[in-house]
Amino acid sequence: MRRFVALLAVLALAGPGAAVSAAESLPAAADPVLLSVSGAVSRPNASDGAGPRAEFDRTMLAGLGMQTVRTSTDWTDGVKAFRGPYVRDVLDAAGYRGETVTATALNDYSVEIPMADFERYPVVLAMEMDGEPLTRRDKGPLWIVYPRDEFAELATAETNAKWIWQLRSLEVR
Amino acid sequence: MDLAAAKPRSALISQCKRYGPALVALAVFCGWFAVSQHSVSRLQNELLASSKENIYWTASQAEVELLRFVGALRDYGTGSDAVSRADVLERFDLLWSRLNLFREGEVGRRLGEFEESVETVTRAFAMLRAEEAAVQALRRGDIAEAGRIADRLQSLHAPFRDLSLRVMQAEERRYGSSHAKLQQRHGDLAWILVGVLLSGAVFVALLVRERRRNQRLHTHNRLLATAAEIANTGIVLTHLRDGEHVIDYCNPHFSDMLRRPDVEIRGCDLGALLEQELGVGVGELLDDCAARGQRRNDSEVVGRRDGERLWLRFDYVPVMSETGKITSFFAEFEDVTIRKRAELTTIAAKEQAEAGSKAKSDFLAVMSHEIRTPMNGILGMVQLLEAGRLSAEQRDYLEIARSSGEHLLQLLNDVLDLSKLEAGHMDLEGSDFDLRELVESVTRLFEPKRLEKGLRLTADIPPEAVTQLHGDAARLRQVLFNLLGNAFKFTHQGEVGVEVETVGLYAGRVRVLIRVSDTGIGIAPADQQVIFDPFSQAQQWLNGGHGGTGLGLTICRRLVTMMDGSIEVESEPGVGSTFSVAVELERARRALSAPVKSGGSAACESGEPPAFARGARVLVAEDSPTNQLVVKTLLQRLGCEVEVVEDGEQALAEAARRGYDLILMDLRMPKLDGIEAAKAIRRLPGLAVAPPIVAVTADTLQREKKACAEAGMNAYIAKPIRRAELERVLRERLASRGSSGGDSVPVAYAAETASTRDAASPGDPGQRALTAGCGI
Repeated sequence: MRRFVALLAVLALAGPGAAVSAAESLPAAADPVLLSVSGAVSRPNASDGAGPRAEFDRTMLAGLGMQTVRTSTDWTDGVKAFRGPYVRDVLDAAGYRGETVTATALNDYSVEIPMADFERYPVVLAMEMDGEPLTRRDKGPLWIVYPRDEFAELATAETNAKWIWQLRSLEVR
Repeated sequence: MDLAAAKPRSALISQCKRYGPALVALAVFCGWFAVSQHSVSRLQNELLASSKENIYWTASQAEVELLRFVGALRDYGTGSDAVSRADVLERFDLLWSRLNLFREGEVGRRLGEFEESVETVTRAFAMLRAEEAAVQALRRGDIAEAGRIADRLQSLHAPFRDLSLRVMQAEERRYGSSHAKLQQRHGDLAWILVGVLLSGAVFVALLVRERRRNQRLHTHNRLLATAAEIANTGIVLTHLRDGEHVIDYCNPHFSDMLRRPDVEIRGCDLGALLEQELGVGVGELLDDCAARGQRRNDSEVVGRRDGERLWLRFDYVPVMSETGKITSFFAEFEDVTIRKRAELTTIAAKEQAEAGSKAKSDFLAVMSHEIRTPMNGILGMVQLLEAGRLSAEQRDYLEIARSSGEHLLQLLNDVLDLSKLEAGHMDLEGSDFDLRELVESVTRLFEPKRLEKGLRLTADIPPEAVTQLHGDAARLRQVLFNLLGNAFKFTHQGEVGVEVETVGLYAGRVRVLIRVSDTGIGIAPADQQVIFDPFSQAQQWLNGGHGGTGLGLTICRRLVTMMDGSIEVESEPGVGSTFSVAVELERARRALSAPVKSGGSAACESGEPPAFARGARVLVAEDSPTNQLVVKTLLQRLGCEVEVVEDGEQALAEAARRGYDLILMDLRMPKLDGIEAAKAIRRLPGLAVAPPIVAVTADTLQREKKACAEAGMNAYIAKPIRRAELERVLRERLASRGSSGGDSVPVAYAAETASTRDAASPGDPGQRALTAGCGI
């Protein structure tokens, strides 16, 4: 049931997003870039030797719609409220075309995440925890947060590895 | 078929007993399996949880970030372009965030379990806070400052390195022990599985065996069911529920009996159903059977179906379980209506036949009376005439009239005797008698005949013979008389002999053999076979020209048979015949007095009235004027004073009015019959002397005699009345005149005496003996 609701939400949000993405390219980031999405993206707003990228600053990410996921984690005490856009919304905004995302952190830790994760679960790109912006010292500024308490099957080592914090970039392949 | 539906609940219990051990083992193994499985899954979860976040990674990454920051710091100090100020600050933040992991969440808790962890992290944070300002203030190329900061932070490297080593070792140990436990559990699981399989196999084997047994039971059940289906009795199975005998099953015969389909019968209360459908009340029987646990049955339960009576044979049997508890009941009904109807029809037919027989017997009694009464008149008148002055010719005529009358009476008596014998109305009587005297008295009767035909007559009774006997003397006399009668009838020269032999037997019984032989014409062998049969050709022949009914031998054989004896004949035509009679009798119960010598002949010879009767007051109750005249004349000749009345009422009045020495009472009279009148007289108060009452009747049936004795009568005279017999009775009854009032001599004794005396009187002795024998 929950999955069904989640799927409805995906359809409702993806519909207009897809229409927008086809019409125009992403505006350039005005503030410092928090996240750059590279690889198979159709709406890049920047480019360098490595290829086109869709870059997002804080305002752009917040503009994708702040969602809340309440869950406990192995690295925090108690249940925390994480806020931020859904990862799939961010990827939609970048106009992704691929099956896998390689997420890389500031310390160069990287992990591959199947696109299905974002389609199946409301995974957020957390920018805030309990109303406070996430800082670099506290796993910020961006942390991919899975709704672990809501979906028991996510409480595994494999999923834990995908809770990448201090996220810097996503590469869609 | 629903015989199985009545399956007892105890079957469940016995099944539990049978499968119990296997089931318990299976349950234990399954439980053990579940527990072990749970334990395994818990261990696995533990392993998974521990591997979910590798704390060794977290610890070592702190060391890595420390070295990276120190490296970046030194590079920045050298003025390298590769490292910017932002990079240094980022590295500082990353190191900070790494240290934060030691303080929060599940990961922080697990790392906190290591003693040196808390101390190291606390020290590291303190150092980071202390150095933060210095790091912020560091300028590119200030190699000395960067070196100092780096050196200070470098001192944290050793503790973190040691910590991560410790964590690695601890994690490996934990992982190893969990694995060992897991392996052990897996080993357990294997054994448990073996156990589950084994007990499961046993259970399955038991089930297979049970299934086979069930199949056999099923076959057996089907056989029983078939038997019930084709049975010709109604079969019902019930069980008790709330005091009702609820029907579980009934066979087709039962539903036919009730004329209702079995679906309407099942579930009903048996008692109520039978009451309602057949009007049969067996409720109490059913309840009694249930209460006492005992079979109850009734051979005839009467009900009603279609307006007709219905008889059922009913059987109700409790069915017990092995523990003796009643589980159900078995009922059987048989419709015995047809049999019962046949029985009733037979009984009715028998009753009808008996009624017919009684009517015949009554008719004979009436006929006997009706013929004897006029004969009495005729013979009485002849007797009166004989006493008068007559010419020789007149006397011959009178003699012919008398003998014809006597002959007619004999014919009548023979027919009556045979009828009574055939109808089983003849009863033997028992009294003590002397055989020698009996034989002598009978042979004396034939003395005139012997003289007439010029024959010899011998009677041979050995002195040692047992002659004091007990039995029906009158019937024995009748037999002997008949045989002697035939002997004289068919013997024209030579002799007639009587031989008697007795053989003492056990227990006071005596076998008596009487042989009557003659030198007569004899009997052809073919005729010897049939002479004892009634109305046979031989009888006709025997009878030819000799008068009589020819029933004599038939009567003899019947009488002898009644005495459990036999009669046989040996004969040779032209030489002679010998009839042998063998009967078993008892010895006399008491010693007999010396035989009374005949006294009647004296009176006859003298022609004078005997002294004993002179002046005696005699009341005669008789409705027939002819008989009144005969009796009155006879009595007056004997010197009696006679009063005659016409019915019982007058007799009673007369008896009450004056004292009589004797009353002669005809049994059949108008208004009040002789029996009732005698009873009334016996009840009369104030009679100084109760007169002896002598019954006078033509009835020859046994029950009449009994009725007379019961009415208080003392003696009995058969019609037609003969002077000799009358004289004898008077002699006996009047002898006690003036002494005691009542006479206790029983009727039977008096009757027997009567025949004895009668036999001594003159005239045709045979006729009289027969009359006396039969009439009394």
